[in-house]
Amino acid sequence: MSLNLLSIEELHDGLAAKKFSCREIIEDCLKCIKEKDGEIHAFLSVYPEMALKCADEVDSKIKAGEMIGLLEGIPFSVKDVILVEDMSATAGSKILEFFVAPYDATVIKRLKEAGAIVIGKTNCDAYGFGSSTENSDFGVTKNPHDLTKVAGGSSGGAAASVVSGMCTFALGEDTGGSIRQPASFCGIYGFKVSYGRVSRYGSIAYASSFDSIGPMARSTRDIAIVLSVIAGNDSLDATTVPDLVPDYLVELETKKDKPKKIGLPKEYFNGLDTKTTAIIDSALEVFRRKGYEVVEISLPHTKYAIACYYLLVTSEASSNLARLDGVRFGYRAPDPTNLEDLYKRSRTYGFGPEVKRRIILGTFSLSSGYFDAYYKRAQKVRTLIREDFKKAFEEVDLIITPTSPFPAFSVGEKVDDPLTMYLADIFTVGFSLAGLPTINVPCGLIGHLPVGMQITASYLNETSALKASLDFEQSHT
Amino acid sequence: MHIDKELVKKVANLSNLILDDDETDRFTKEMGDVLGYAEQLNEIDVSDVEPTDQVTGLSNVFREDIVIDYPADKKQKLIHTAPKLENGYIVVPKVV
Repeated sequence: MSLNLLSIEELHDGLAAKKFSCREIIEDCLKCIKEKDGEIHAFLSVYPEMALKCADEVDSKIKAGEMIGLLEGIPFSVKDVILVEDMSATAGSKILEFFVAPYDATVIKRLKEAGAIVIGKTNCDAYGFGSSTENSDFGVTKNPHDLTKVAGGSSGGAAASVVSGMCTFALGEDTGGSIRQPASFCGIYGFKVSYGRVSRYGSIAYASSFDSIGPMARSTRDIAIVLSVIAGNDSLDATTVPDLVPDYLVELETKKDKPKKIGLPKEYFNGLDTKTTAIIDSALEVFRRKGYEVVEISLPHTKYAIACYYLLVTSEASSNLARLDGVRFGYRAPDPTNLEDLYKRSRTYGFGPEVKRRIILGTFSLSSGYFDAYYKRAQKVRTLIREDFKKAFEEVDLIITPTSPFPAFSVGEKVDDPLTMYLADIFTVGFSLAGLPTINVPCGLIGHLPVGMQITASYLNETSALKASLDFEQSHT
Repeated sequence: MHIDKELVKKVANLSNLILDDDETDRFTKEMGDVLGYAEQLNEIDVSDVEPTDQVTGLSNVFREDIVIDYPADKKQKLIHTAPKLENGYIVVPKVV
């Protein structure tokens, strides 16, 4: 049996019924990594001994007749921007190549308390800066469906690790599409939750008013189980909301509500290629059959989303990355002549081209004389984009769009042209600007490459997005 | 907005980065492309619009101002992330 491909509930039931051991689950995942990851390169580091030790502890508990929790003994991968104590955390960047995390991120602490087992750290574009993992300083992650294509980004390693069965679920991080787009390219579920729903404590910051940690998995139910554990207020992250976190799995099973109204923003469908359009159309047909109503809506400021997004995130990133200066952590240039020389040479050596590009762009937008024309103006446009969504959600319960204008592209295809790469994020960044919960749901194939749709709900209404995702999953697969 | 090499060099310096000539040329072009694209934001009248700093609506999140004990071994782990230490202090080049 391939335990590495089972769902969380299947694994839990099997463990509880002593059909297999936790050690066998971990061994299946490690075997899969050994067989496939040489080519795919989903992981930057793997921790077989630590994982097997945790597995043996779970097995002894089961042997002793103790009850185990739903996530106990379940293996997961962690995007390399999230800190796991005593494990490497490079953020995909050479400057942090030898950095070992001194503590657990809040999401990791919560998953460890629930008994889940970290199997390794996954590849990503450095600090999340990219849509293909080609900006990782440690090499690209290939798409398991086609090794000539990218896995997407920035959480490309996370998506590849899940779809190929190297672990049961993954933690990714999404600033402008970094969970949803790789989930779409790899054909899995990936949930960017509402900003503030999940603690960012212990995550290496990209853009602090956008960053959201979230689960990536092979089913909606797995997503719901993980989210119920990681979500919720955290005294170590003052931007987490105090709102109560429902048990999403229970909500999926019990909460009956009236059929929902889905809005299709016309701006997202103008000029969309015919194959993607056809796939989304047939997905909408599934929803109609289930009693959903589908209407056209308008989000008039959509065309400004990319420009607005990139001005804001590069500004926030340039400020966040100032802490990487060769003093407190990371690479330190040898024999500095003075402090400024230490800063400059450590950063210049340790940062790749895309990181430098974004720092310079962000520093420019924040600098004296340009601040009002660029940064401040973008913040105001962000307000208009948020208002578009606010108005839309007065009319509809959910918004559905494609996740990406195209399926996975070829390795090397867009890497030389930053602006073209930025435009690949056209369908994901709007929801990030508004901080809304939005899940990628696999809904078809173009050739052998997966296509995904985004199902978005109003702020903090994760349950609605999950229910629609499950409704589609159940009638589609 | 015209982006020239001098501006890119100035901003790189503000960012504590050193660019070689090739990088300067490349970033000058690419920054011009991206900021040229961003100029479409000027089409919108934002004179009466408040800026968005964050989306949660939270304000003034306070906590008790108290010392929380942090285990000694964890303190050691934190300090040892620094690349150069002496007697438990982080070493930097002479500043004064």
